[in-house]
Amino acid sequence: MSTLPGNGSHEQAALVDAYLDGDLNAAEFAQLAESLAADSSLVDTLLGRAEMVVALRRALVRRTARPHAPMSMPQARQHNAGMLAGLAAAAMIGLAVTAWFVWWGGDRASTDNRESRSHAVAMLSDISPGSVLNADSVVGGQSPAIGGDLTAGPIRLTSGKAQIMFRSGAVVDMVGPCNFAMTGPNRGTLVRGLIQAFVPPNAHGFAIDTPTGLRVIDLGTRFTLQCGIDPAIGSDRVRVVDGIVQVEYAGQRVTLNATEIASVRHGQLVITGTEAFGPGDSIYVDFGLDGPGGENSDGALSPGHWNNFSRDISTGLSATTRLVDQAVRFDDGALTPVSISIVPDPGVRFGIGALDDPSTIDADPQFPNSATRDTLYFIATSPERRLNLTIDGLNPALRYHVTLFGHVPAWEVRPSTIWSAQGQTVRYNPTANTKAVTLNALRPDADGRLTITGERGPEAAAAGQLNLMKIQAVHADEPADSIAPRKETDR
Amino acid sequence: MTTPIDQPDRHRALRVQFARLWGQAETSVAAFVFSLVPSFHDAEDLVQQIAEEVAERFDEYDPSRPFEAWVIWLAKKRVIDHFRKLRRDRLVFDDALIDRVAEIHTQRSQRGGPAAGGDHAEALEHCLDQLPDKSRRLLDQRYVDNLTPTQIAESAGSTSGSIRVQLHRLRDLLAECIRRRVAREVRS
Repeated sequence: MSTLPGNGSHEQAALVDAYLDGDLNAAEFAQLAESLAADSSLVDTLLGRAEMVVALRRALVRRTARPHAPMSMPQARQHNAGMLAGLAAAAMIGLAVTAWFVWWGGDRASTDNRESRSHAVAMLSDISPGSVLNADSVVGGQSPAIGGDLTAGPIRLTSGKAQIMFRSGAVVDMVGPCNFAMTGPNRGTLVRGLIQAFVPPNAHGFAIDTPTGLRVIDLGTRFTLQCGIDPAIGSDRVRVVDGIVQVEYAGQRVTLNATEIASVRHGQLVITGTEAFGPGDSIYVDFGLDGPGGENSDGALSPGHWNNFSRDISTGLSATTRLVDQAVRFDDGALTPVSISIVPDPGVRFGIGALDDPSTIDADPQFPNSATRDTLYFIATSPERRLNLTIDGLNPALRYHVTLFGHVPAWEVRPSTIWSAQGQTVRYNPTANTKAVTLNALRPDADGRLTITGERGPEAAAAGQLNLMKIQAVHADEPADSIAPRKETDR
Repeated sequence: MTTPIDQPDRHRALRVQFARLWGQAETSVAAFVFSLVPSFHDAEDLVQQIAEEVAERFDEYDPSRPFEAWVIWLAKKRVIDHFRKLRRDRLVFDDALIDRVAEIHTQRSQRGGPAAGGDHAEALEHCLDQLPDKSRRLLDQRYVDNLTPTQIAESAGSTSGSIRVQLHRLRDLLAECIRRRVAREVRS
């Protein structure tokens, strides 16, 4: 692609293109060969055009294998973000698959290896630091390590994240705690937990079963599946992030397109779209200094995706601020229609502060310890001046739990932070706080908007603090007690 | 067995090194092969064979020398072997010209490599999005359905020459679009 017309004459460039199109006759071919032998710049043109053709073919084939999401949802900007994510995933898969299959075929020196590999159905392709993995299926009984081969059998991730690549090329990301079993080179069973599967064209037909009888067959390219986590949202739930998935349950068979969700509820397969923030959906927000993947925001000890609220905020800002990049994602990585804004009252300043306190907050493992390393804070000239958190894009027919967590180390004296909405009030003392608080079953207005307000305590040293927030959708008719957010320890 | 994952071994280290180097070189190697074997299926098979040979012989690679140059040396021999297996009436370059293409490819890569990086890939996606549907369909026929200009012309009731010109102009258009897009990104 770096070589453009002008390197070599226009006619010669056209001849090169025709050659690369496989459309030259013998005389034209002889003419091209003669010109190439005599003119180095034409060879340069040939290589440049070949680079472009290879890139073009790959891009176009990839587009064919990845149908676009319906234009009604997500919106245009989100569509682009999804496309880039898809590209990144495809590129990663392509590299990893090539590398693995090459090693598979290339390691011919060891008979033992070859024999053991003949039984392998997958390999462990990645694992997050500190993860604890229990696998009976490691070839040769060795400890599981990146690049290690896996035979059919169970694999249990107690915490952290791990990635498995099947022989077919399908890739499964596990989020701990997760019990999964590999049952063949292109199929598996999710016993309990959350996975995300990336399925390249070569692995079409990749199938995942669950103990309840749900079967998900991927027709390319990406879906998430959770199982046995939360009965309130249905025992099994599959969401198509990209491409098309076929779902089978109790004699029913449906095809899901991008953004659609299928859940098992009361023995029935229920299909929903994601035009609203629906029951079972959760959004996690980390008010942190680093972007996704940064030290403070990785959510490594928590399930799924974290939205980071950082770059647009600095100390002293007083204007309305939207969540970074405005592309808020659900915990399974899918794009949401939600946006979150901070609206301070006059006289309220807010910002993000780094605390760099390695405190552990194991008393409430719903949130990661990294939450203690930075915080949203707000300072008001008087306690009645508030910071408003506005959440747009909700479904007015549903209710939403908003769980909040604030923590600062003991050397920071922050006596209290108070959050309220629709007559409910919760508070915490951020200094060494280890508990999350929840505003239950909040009702959005007719426009799908929900606002919660934060106050600093009346004490002289008070400043409001907020490290993390979780928003979870629930059905309107379910009693609050039965749908209270569950801690990870309950899962 | 419950084990924290923190024990790299030599095999794993080699895999990681191979994956990294091959990942960096693969697109460029594919372009080199395709420049000599302009058939998608043949070229893709050859690249796979080259990848296998590179993996098998990875312990021969001298890390002090450019990885891509070593791979191109192996790839060149694969291409020559491939040509020798073809029927005599197939149109192929002679060994001297293959050497010349390999030499210039290596020079290109030492000048900064092929334009296959993330910026160019994203620019290509952007530029493809700008094309009218008719042009996209033509590109799909050529690069996804793998039809030659003659075959496309037959299905469209056009002439081979007309399709060749349209494809040539489209590629020029895309190349220029990519160049502008990348230049703008570099400036910003």
